Amino acid sequence: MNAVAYPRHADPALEWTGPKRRYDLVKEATIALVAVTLLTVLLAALFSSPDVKPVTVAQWASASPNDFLSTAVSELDGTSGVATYGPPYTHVAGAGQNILGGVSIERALGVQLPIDPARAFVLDPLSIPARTTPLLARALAVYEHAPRAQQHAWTHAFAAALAKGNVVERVRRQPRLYGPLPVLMGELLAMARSGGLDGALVSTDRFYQTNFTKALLFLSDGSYLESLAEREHLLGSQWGMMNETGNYPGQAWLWLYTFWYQIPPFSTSDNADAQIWAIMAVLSLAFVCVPFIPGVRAIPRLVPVYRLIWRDYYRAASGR
Amino acid sequence: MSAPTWTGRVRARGLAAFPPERLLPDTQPAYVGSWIYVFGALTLGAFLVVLASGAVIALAGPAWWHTSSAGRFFNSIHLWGTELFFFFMVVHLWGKFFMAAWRGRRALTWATGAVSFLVSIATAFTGYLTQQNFDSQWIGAQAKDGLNAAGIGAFFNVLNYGQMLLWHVVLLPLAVALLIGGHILLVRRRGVVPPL
Amino acid sequence: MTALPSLAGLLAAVVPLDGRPRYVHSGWFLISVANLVVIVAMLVVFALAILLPFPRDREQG
Repeated sequence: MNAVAYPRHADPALEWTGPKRRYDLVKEATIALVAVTLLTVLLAALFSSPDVKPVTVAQWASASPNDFLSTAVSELDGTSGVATYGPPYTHVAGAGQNILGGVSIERALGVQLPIDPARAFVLDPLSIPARTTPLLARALAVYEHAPRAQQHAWTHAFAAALAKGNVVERVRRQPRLYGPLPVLMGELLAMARSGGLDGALVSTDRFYQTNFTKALLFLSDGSYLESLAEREHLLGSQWGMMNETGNYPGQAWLWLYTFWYQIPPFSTSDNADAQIWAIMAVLSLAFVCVPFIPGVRAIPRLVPVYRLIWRDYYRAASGR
Repeated sequence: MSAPTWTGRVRARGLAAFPPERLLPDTQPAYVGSWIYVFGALTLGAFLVVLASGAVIALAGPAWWHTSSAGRFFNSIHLWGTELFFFFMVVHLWGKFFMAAWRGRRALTWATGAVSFLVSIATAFTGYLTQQNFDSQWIGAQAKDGLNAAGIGAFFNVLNYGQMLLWHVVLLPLAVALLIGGHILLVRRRGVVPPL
Repeated sequence: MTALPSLAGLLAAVVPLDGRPRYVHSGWFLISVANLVVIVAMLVVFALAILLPFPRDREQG
């Protein structure tokens, strides 16, 4: 660079009137595009991309029948994750995460995606095979017409038997304790294993389907999906948001979002999601507004990386 | 002379803000002499690769890549293109931060860049949701809690595949493209920030 | 076009990244080797971008 009259500290708000250099933007952009395309094709050819098969309800019911049945009973019972979730799925007084004190956007917006867990995940799907299975039809009718207290007694007893691990034996010894539950659960398990429940959970009264809310909520109420995720380090407590299956790079750019979940008080808070969303919303706004934040906007002057970036310019401007 | 037309006014304002020599200069201030300056172009290049590979996948539909090795190859280009997009964007961001590139009425340039980063995250997120594999299931199951807690989940249902696919293919890429376009025009308008 | 699918099949995952995931674990800090490589690469590339000399304008030289 010639030692011409370089303004040592040019006013950044004014158009540059100092020396210029040739700079071919179109050539640079073209080379950048070609280089990135070649690099991407190379990476794609070398490493491909992950494609772990999705879990079906059939797979869940076959691999983990106890967990499947416990989940189904909890849906009937109103004790499942979805049943106790509150907005946007179910009406549960006081449910919904708080950002601060008693302030909850979730509660304020209310139930926008209503689901009746007992009907959606158990009773409505069972009504399909019930049309051709009189035993099942009778069991459904008995359950649906029983008083709420009786329904609870049956579901609690069945859940307890499942927890003890020998449900078939217990049902044979004291069938009256469980009412129609053994028939309902037996048929639901068979339906699930056959793949019929996967279809029933997606279908509605319309032909075309693109919404998997019910199926995914049911799957995530159980432990099977989570057990597979844990193996792949995808749980929230494993910095999962950043990770990908196998040894593929994931989403390193989410490091700050997932970081909060690893440390107290958020790691043990019931309101972690709402609190962390609030923190990240504030930090994101701060990121956009860096030019206006004293202290933060002074960091470039304090950590003089700029001296390296513009070293040629400073050398020329000082006449060296 | 008759009253100026809307077209005439738009043209005049456009030319005033972006005369050809400013829109496509073949010189730069002499201080533009570091490899850090190419990372904006690299980010844009990666964005174009992601768009193009996404368009190829769109030709055959979202399930294509599970059953076709050509489909899998283009999905891989789409994934690695996205990794490179964020890679180059973050290096570009670091460079611009340490240059304090918001100086001299360039705060909006910084802001459009920052918002592009955030909207790109949302775009990638909806992409992960629409893969139709285990990853999509798990990410949807997890993300719903965060989004529900913020009140967004009631209207942006990550378990609704159709909704997420349209956000990923139509709405969010359009938003990113507009933001990047605006960002680049602002860089051309104000010029590259001078040294500290 | 038929050559492309078979070429893609041939090239599919020369370096397979599926399989048992590898992680670096220290206290509550846990990161995948893959993500660590990406982050280190970003830092290295940033340093190189700043330190490596950029071609000068020959006409001005």
